[in-house]
This record gives sequence, C-alpha cells and structure tokens, in this order.
Amino acid sequence: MTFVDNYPKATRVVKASFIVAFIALAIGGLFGTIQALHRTNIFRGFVSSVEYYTVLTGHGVLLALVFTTFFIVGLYQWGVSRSLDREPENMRFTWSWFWIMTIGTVLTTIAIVGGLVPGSSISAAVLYTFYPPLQGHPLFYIGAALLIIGSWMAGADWFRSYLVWRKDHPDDKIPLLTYMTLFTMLLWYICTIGVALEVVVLLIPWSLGFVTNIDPLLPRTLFWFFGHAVVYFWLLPAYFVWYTILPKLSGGRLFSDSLARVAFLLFLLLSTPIGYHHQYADPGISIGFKFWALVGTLIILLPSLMTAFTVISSMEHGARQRGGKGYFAWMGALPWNDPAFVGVALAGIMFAAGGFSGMINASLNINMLVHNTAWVPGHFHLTVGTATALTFMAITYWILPQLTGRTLKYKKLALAQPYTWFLGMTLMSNALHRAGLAGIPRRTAEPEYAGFAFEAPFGTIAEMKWQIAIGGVILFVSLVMFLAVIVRSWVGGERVPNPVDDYIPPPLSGSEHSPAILDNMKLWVGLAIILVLFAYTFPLAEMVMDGLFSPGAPPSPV
Amino acid sequence: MATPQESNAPTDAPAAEAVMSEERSDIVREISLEEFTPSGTLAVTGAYFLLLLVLYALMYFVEFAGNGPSIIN
Repeated sequence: MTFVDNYPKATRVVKASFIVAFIALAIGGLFGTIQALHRTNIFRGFVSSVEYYTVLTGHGVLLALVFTTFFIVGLYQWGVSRSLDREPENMRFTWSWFWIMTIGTVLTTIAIVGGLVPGSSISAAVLYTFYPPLQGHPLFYIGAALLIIGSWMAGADWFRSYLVWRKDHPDDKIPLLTYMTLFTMLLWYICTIGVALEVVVLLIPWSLGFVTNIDPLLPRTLFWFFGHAVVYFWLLPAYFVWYTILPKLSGGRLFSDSLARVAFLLFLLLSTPIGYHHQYADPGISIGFKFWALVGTLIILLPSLMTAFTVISSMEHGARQRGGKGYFAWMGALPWNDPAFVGVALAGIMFAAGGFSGMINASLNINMLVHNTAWVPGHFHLTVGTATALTFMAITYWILPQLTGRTLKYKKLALAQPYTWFLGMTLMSNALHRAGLAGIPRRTAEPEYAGFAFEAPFGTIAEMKWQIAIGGVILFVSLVMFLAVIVRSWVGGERVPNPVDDYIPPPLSGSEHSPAILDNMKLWVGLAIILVLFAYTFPLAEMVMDGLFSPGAPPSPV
Repeated sequence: MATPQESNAPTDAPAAEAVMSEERSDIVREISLEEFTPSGTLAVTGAYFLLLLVLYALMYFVEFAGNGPSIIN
C-alpha cells in the first residue's frame, strides 16, 4: 500500500501537475542550452541575436515560474493529503485550480514562443523580470495572472483541508508537512499582492493600449515586492524535502521539529520586506530603505543557516545509525548509491556555495561590483537552478513510485543523473561567477565589444566561455537522463504493492517539544504584514501620488 | 494508510523512540536523541564558516585591494 492506494484522487492531480512541470522543464532546459552556446559564441546557429531574448524569456518563465509552481503544487498536495490523511475536499475545485494554472501557462507560452514564429505579431521578450519599459503581448500578462490565481486557489484548497482536519484534532500541533505547506502559501499570498497589482492594474491596461506611457519605477518596485519572496517560494518546498524526507533517506530522523517550524516562520516574516535589495542600483528609492533591505537580507540568512545545522545534523544522525564514525568520515556512510538521496544532498552542497554569492549580492556596496553581471545568473543557477531544481528532480525518484505504484526503472541512469547535473553546474556556475567579476554583463546575446577586452581576475575569458558552454550541454544531457528515467518508470515500472519505502520516521525532538506559539498563524501573518508596511508604505505612496502612470515613459521596443 | 505518527503529527509520536517499527537493513544501531552528539555537524558547519571567511577575503583582494584607490584620488 502506498500513496496511490490511499489517496487515488489526490494522486491524479499530483501526477497531472508533475506532467506540466516536466514538460516546462524540458522546453525551458533546451532554451537554456541554446543560450549557453549563443552567448559564449560557441554556436549561434539556433536563433538570431534578437530571438535570443525570446529564448531567454522562455527559459526564465518556463523554469522559474512554471516548472517550479507546478512541481510545488503537486509536492504540497502530496504532503497535505499524506500528513492530514485526507483526499482533497472537493475534486471539482481541485481540478479547477489545476486547469486555471494550465490555461494561464499555455497563454503565456504562446505569447513567448510567438516571438520565434516568423511574421507573428505575438511576442513577449520581456525577460523573466517582466517589468517596463519592456512590453509583451497582453496574453503574456493574462496568462501569468491566471497562473498565480490558480496557485492561490491551490493554497485555499489546502487551508480548507486543514480547517476540516482541525475540527477533528482541536489540540494537536499542525503536522509538519502541512505546517510547511501552509506557511509557504501564507508567504506566497503576501508577496503575490505586489505582482498581481503590477500585472492587473498597470501592465494589462498598458499592453492593451488603454494607456500609452508608464512609470518605470512603480511596476518595477511592485515586481521586486514579489520578486525576492518568490525565491523562497521556490526554496521552501526544497526545504520541505530536506527537513522531512532527506533525514529518512539518510537512514536517520529529523533532528528537531521546532527548529524546522522556526525557520519557516522566519521566512514568512522576512522574505517580502527585503525586495529592495534587487533595486540597489535603482534611482528613486532612498538609501535608507535600501539599507533596511540590506539588514533584513542579512537577518534572513539566519533561517537558512539554521536549516544547514538541522539538515546536516539529521544526515549525520542517519550516517551514525548506518555505522559512520569520525568528524568528517561519517559522510562516507551515507547512501551515495541512492539517486534520491544523492540528488538532494548534492543540491544542498550547491546551495551552500550559492549562499556565499548571495551574501555578496546582499551586501549593498559589494553588490555594485557584480550588479547585472554574469555573476547573478551564476548565483541563481546554484539556488533555484540546483538547490530547488535538483531537489525536485531527485525527490521525484522517491515520490513517483508512490504515485504510480510502479518501481523506478533505469536505476543506474537515475543514479548518474544528479552527479551529471552537479558536474555541469560546477563548470557553468563557477565560470559565470568569475565572468561577472570580469564585468561581463548578464542577459546579453553578444557580450563582446569592438576594441575592448574583458580582463579576468581568475583564469581566462576563453576558458570561462568553454566552461559555460560545456557545462550548459552537460546540464541538458542530465535533463534528458532525468526525463528518460521518469518516462520509462511512469509507463514501464513493475507494479508491486510497495514500490518504495515511503515510511517517514518521527523527529528525534518532536512537536511535543515545540512551543504552541509556533503554530499561531494569525500572529505571524500579522507581524509579517506590519514588516511589509514598514518597508513599502512610504516609497509606494510617493510613487503613486504623482499618478499611477506618471512620470510616463514609452514602452520598449516602441 | 499513513501511520498514526504521520497523520496526526509526524512529530507528535508519544513513544518516539519506539516508532522505528519498520526495520531497515542498512541501520546498524538506533541512536536516540540523548545518545546523539552532532560533532560531525559542528565540524562541517565550522569548515563552511572558514570557507566563507576565505572567500570574503578573496573578494576583498580581487575587488578592492587589487585596484588602486579611485574615489580618494
């Protein structure tokens, strides 16, 4: 008996969500490889340098918004059904959020891919950060809005399940899997207010031609109101896996339930008010608010460092139960032959490296040295591109058998896949970071200039280019390996009663040691809103007071 | 169905030590909270902090000390 036998209705929606996620992953990954070859000038035959920006937009939106969001709703539906021991309350409502998200995704994808069709009037080369003056087709914005509305409904579905569960369990602590789901969604509700206002009030009327000019700063600020917290919307589901499943895969148990809860509520409190750290180079926002964002960003390192402690100690517990010894040698006792464990563990190691470059990004003064350079994609390919994406891929090796009732096929290929990803990302990301230190810009189809040569502080520019291109190709190979394992296992795995050991042991220090205040959602949401009001009220009021669309600038391309 | 420990609170197992009911062949001995001292975690996180310090110092030398004063000049 596994998940599909206990919750067949929930299983169908989880599988449907994973299918959309993996299609987006395949297309977005292909686009990424094209970019890696194009910008390094290794091969520029796939697209023109104008179409490069359409490919870049597709890569960013399909991976950072579509793959992540669909995988997250599937993963969280799995977690909520399992930990509350419930099917969704009303399948019509559950399927309606799935289809709203899917229709939104199709509309947005049509708008982006239209840019690659000769003679098409539809295009949306607005990059992943879709703020003005870059303007896309209205379908892009309408689709993005539907994707977000669908995700809100998914959250409402889980809150509903929780409330029904609560009636039968008035005195229980919220089960940890559901706690993490609900706190992520609370964060998501708060931060998406910014992007919803940006898209619905400003960008849709502007893209439809109802207004001709737009104030570049206001929608940009609303985007970053959402745009930093969204990284925690990607990351917290990875933490959900690291805290609740990784200890089991390591052969141990979660070290502390309370620490996991504290980390999630700190993210709820701190992730939205710090969006200005993406606008350190923007005029129009006073240095005081940027400094506040700097302080908040350094404080938000705390829950990630707490996570490092809790997750590493849980793994160590597993290693020692498996006979591991010593200060460092215990790591050798971990199950490095289990693809799910390997992928999640390597994702965590990459995240530690991404933590360093994130600290540099967060630091107001040093940020200026790497702002808008290749360092930035170097950073987020370690975080969302590995900590999140590799965790999602690896945990699919463990969850998919629970959804299909079939065993995993191509196990050796599955085991090689995370190592391949790690190798490809090591090559690409270290070179992107160093290219950024050399001043090479990000988001540029042809980052080369006549009569000027970049000077590399480490290595050579030519070697960096090759590492980026080869790394990008290896990542694509790894992606194909992942898809081959998944498709083959989905349709060809052997049907057995227990296709995977899905038992999750309780934490070493469980919720009986966890203070009740950690479960007080009203308190933490109230505090989170107060912190957002402190950060955003005055700057936004100042931008709005001279009119929503002024001072106005024309769209680009005109 | 999910075990009671998972469904009501994966964390709320009253007899937490007795829940390792599903024997795993790879576990050679069970270690309770009282027996567990995460000294390896201390070593790994300590090494990570040292690495952060080294990288910060490297950034300083690459970006500041490697170049002559600009604003002061």
